Amino acid sequence: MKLLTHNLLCSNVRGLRPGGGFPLRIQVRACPSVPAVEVLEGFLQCPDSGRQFPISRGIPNMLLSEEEA
Amino acid sequence: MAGSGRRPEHRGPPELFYDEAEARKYTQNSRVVEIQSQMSERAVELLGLPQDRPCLLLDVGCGSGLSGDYISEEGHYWIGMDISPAMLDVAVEREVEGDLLLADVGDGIPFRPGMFDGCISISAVQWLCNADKKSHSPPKRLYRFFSTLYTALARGSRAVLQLYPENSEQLELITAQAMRAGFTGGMVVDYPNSTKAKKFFLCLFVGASGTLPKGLGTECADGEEMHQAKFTNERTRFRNAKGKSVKKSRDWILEKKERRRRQGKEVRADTKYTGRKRRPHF
Repeated sequence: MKLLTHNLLCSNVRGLRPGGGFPLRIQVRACPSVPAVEVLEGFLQCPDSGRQFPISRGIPNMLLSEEEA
Repeated sequence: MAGSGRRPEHRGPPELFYDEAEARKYTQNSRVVEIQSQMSERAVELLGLPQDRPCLLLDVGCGSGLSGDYISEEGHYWIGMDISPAMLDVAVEREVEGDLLLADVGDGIPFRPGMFDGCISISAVQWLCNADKKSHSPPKRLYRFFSTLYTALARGSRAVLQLYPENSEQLELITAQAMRAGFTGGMVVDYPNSTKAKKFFLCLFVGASGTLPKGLGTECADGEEMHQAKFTNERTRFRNAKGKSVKKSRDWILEKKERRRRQGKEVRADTKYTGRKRRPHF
């Protein structure tokens, strides 16, 4: 997932306040010596709900459950 | 992929239909690649993007990145969304330049407002019309898709969605939800008189409503043929109703050679002798 995409992405879950769900906090198990430029594995966390979106092979999984949609 | 046989949407949800095997088959099929590439070209043309700078586009139902490749070729950036992990895996393998998201567009477009300069979608939106889960309501999902898409697009930008509507009711449902969401615009139909070549592009404008572009194959030339007989010296018609060349004609031979070149096979050069009528002898 590129930096630009992360800059634009917000949480899709229903019922958030307008303008909410942004910015998603990036959570990676990164070693301090290796700068993370492109996120391959990790999580994006919504600042309002705490909901985590997993990232796998560089692709964030934004699929919602039935209750969230 | 719709058109021959049953519609894929009837076989099941897209994330199951496009499994690993189907994803691979789809992406390697030269006919599919050609058609998708042509439709992407037409969709980007209909977007009416500014010529002087690269733009950020959204690709809805990007799949394995066939349409995205064309966007990259034109020098634009793109972010793609698709519901099938298998298709996205193929896109990663093919090292597409755009960024990918695993998402269901029926749940909305998860971006900040006004970020995209345009949106294209090739052969995807008709999947939203089928309820794949008990909780699905197609009109609601379509409205959620269109309203969030409207928000995510910049003012003055467009969304061009190529789709395969099953019937006119589906077409009306889709268009109605798009209008409800605030879009203006309408349907552009290319080659309306041909069953095979006919393509539907839903052209939606955000904000300023421009004039709807004209569909291909609707120009005077075709229109005249319908109203009066065209007299030519040619005995045979170059193209039949399917939009293909008559078999064995020089056009057909040249097209076939071009197809084989694209497949990477060794083909003789085209010369003045190609497809020339031979002297009739026993």
